[in-house]
Amino acid sequence: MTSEGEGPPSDDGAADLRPEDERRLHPAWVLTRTVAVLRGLVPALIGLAVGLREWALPAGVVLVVLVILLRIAEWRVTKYAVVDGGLRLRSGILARRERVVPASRISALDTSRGLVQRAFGLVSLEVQTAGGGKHAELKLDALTYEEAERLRAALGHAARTATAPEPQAPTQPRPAFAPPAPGPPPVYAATGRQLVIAALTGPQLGLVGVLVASLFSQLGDAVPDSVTDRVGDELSGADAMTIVVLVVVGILFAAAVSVVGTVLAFAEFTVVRDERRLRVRRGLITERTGTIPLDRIHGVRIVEGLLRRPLGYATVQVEVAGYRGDDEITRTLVPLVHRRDLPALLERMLPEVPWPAGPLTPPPPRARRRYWTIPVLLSVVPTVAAAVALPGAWSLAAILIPPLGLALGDARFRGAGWSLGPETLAVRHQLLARTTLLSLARRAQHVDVRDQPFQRRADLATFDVVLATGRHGAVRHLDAGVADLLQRTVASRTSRNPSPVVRRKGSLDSAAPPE
Amino acid sequence: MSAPVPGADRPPLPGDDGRRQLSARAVPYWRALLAMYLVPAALVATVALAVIDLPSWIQTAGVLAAWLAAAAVIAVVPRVRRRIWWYAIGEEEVDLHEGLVIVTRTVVPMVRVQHVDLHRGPLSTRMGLAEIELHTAAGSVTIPALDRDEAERIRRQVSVLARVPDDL
Repeated sequence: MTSEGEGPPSDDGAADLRPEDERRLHPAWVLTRTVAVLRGLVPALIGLAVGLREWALPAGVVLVVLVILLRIAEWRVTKYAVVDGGLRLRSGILARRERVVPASRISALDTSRGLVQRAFGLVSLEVQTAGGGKHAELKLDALTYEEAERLRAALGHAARTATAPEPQAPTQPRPAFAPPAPGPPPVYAATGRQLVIAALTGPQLGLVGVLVASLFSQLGDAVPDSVTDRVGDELSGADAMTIVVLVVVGILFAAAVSVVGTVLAFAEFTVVRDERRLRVRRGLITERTGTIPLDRIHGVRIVEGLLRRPLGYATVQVEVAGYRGDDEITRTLVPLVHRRDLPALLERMLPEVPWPAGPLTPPPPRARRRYWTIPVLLSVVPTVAAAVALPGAWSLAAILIPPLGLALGDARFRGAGWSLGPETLAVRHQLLARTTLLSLARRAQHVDVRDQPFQRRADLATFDVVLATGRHGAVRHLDAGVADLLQRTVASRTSRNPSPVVRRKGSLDSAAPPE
Repeated sequence: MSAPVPGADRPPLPGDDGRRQLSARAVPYWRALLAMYLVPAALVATVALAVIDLPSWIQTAGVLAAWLAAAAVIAVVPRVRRRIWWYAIGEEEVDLHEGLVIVTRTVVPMVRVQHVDLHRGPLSTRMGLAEIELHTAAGSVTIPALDRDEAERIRRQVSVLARVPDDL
């Protein structure tokens, strides 16, 4: 790894460093960390203020100074360097810690910028590795933009914009708002309208609905008869109005919070594609740039939420190995897209993962009633509970629950399906949201077919494919023969057509196996 | 067959022929393992029933039911489990069939196997058994209760066949 050490002068004054030289983070790191720590200490500070009264101010000052001193000490010992093509970070005041991440293990170098970092023109660089779990393996919290680019280049993750990264630095030395992006135009950019729709139909809102519903069901279930009678009376009286108003206000509030949160998280959402990776940029206050190496993409997940599906909208998430952050937001590739635009968008964004040409194949008709069984059986409990607990004529409403279960089960049947294309396996299932897992068949980790006695009697089976991200794509109640054929075909694609990466590294294939 | 699978000429799987069963000692081994949990559980149930103030016929019936259930599970489950279990290790895939009520056939492509573990516990060592665990990027699959020589053979076979995928 011979990167030109023509980086910016480092902060400890020594100019013209060789790449293996150690560097410190930008001094503003002290400030960003102090702010972060103090934010965590707010409850303690309030407690302090209440408990100590007149001594609160000096105590608070001492605390803040202590925190700052500690951060300064930490800043002094935190040093990073590019060593042998890997990134080394030394840190720790008392217990020294040294970590080396080899460049070959780095799956992505992501950046984010918070408010404080923006003020200083800094970014924080997150080093993602395969199997790194939810969190970044290493995080360098305060780097100048140029320094982050230098590290990127040194670690072989340069922003592969059409031009070399070198001329970019002088043209835009300290980006005030956006880092220079003279590269290819985005393959996707979220519009303001899409963001608002995304916010108003988002899962957060659904959660509120569930909360309200469960509140009501608890009123019905958990309260003894005498009280429920009284609540029934009150519900018909003036207090019902209060409750309705409260619920409406609550929903409006949730909608507002959801809109603001979504807009903050997803504003300026753009996806840029170059030869080797997708770059996802998003965020208004904290701006994040994520990189997704194309050769680590195992598939995409199209989620059509409960409120979005009737409107024809869906969210696209990406399945990346070694990037298995459970965070829905980091995995989001497209916050909102209309169903009719989806195939074209995928074709533009990820031609490697083509959308199936035809409609998905549903489970056989004889499977339909088996999709009904479980929801109807499960609905018995709330039915009985409602019949017992609801006052008077309201208990008749309990009759509505099993048909609801039936409708849910039937929707699950209609939502289920699969399609096996030349490259991709699409598996769709539905609970409340309808989720389509579109995965590269040749990258499946294992393929399962399972059945229970009832399924065996009807010659049905459940097909399940597991990706390296741990994601399952299952269709229940397929014809047993079809499930078996699917299992064989997907397994044989995996084993007999290893993905291009393996083929490219042919030397590995032919290398003598360990005896 | 109601729906055609494109490009499918019914590719063979290792389990189509040459299925292997687990060791015959799997049944006593699993019985011992189950007994280690179920006997104390039944004892706890017995003591609890004796302590709680209940009509004596309920106590007797409860104690009887607890011990009978434990005995039935110990007698039946290991045998059924072994009857259902089979595995086949081919050049390209590992093919496993397991279950009790829900029966699962798992196919793991050999290129996806990252490493192989051979486990032996105090009890399995004493009974000459071992367990093979195949790790993939999406977790691991296990072949339990194998004769030790057979487990050793599988370990060697798989580590030869599992190429370095490096394909995350």
